[in-house]
Amino acid sequence: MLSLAPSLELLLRPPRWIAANANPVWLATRVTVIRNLVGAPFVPEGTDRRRLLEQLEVLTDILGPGARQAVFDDHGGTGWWSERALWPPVLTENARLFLSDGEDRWLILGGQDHAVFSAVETSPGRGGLLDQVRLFDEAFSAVGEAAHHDEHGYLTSSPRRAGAGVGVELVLHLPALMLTRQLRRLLSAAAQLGFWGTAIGPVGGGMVTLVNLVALRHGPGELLDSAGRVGELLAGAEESARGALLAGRRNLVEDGVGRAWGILNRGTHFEELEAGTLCSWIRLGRCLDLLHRPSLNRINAALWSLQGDLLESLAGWRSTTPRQARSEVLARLGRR
Amino acid sequence: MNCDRCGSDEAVVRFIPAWGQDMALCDPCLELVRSEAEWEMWLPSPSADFLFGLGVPSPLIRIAQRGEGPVCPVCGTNWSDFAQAERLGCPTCYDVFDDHLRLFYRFHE
Repeated sequence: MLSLAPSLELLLRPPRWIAANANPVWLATRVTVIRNLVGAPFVPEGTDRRRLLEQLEVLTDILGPGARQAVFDDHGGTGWWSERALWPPVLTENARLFLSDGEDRWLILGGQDHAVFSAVETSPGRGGLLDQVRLFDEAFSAVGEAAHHDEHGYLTSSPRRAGAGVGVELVLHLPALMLTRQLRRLLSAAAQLGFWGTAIGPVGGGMVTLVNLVALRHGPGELLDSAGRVGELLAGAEESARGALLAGRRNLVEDGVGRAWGILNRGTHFEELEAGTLCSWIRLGRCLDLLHRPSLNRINAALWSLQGDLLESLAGWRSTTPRQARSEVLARLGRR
Repeated sequence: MNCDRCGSDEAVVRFIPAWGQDMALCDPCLELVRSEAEWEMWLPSPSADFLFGLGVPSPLIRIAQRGEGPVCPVCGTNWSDFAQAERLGCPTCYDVFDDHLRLFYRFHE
């Protein structure tokens, strides 16, 4: 049984799509493509997953020669992470294989679906992500025939993704909508447009993800266009709310930003949610020119480091995650 | 199964919000729940995954099964399995659970 721990530094290092993002509202657009081979169960329980992964090996080429990989054993709950591609991986019968190009693309093989590919962009643009969908589909067609249904389109273990076999997700920073109590109403409107919005748990203070509810009878381009419209609607409302806050309640915003700045500089113990909320205030203050440092890139990196779910989902580090995330926040923001 | 909104015995859907109390709904009440005001009851969910979310949101509804319901002859998945995890087991499930899936999609489209 494999039991080596993943590299903390690798996991905490923010990828390019968030660390190099200076957009005041729009943090990321992610497209996820899900494909299954025809004639095989989705859930690999009781199937020869090792053979399935060997069959899918060719897909790893799309991440390039520098891909990093992790292998996890679903039953044993153990895994290891390598900063360099090591092929063939040491696979157990219950293994799932995670691969990353270290920046903005992920490939997961042998999970609940045979192959799941994710690509992230920092901007609202759709062209690059659509190219990534095509790239993956071409690579998958070289492996075998994808499970497809006349009515349901590409078949996936979750019927939410059947059809296009695609999920489109936005990550937006909407603190002003939260402060002005408009967020719920606007997320409700987004739900009517087919996108489900949720607050990101460990990062408080208006960090929101939106994802398409279903993908049936939609193409990837159509879903990306819809996501763009929803994102622009929310981003526009956020900008207006920020302007209104600055014009009408400037003292409230300055107070919140100042308190956050002081606590982050002087505090020594933070829970994840508290630290996330404080970082969100700092980010809002920076976007409104109430602060001149740190840079948005630095703040984004700190927010990334608060993603305890990331570490927990990779290696079951529930007990150590908060401490590591706190120290990262203090290291990146406190020293400034 | 009785509808938790109107009390009729024709409930077809069990609606499970991101948090709070789940409820069984009949067909007409299902339409009402889709209204904007009703959506607000279930926003926002407390958690999401930045990196490995895989585009699947928190469960919104699970469709209740009246009686035993069909079982997939290929992978053995039954409808209560789906209601638990919102996952189907194999491509054949889509044909076996076709009627249920129509209801699922009707809600979300």
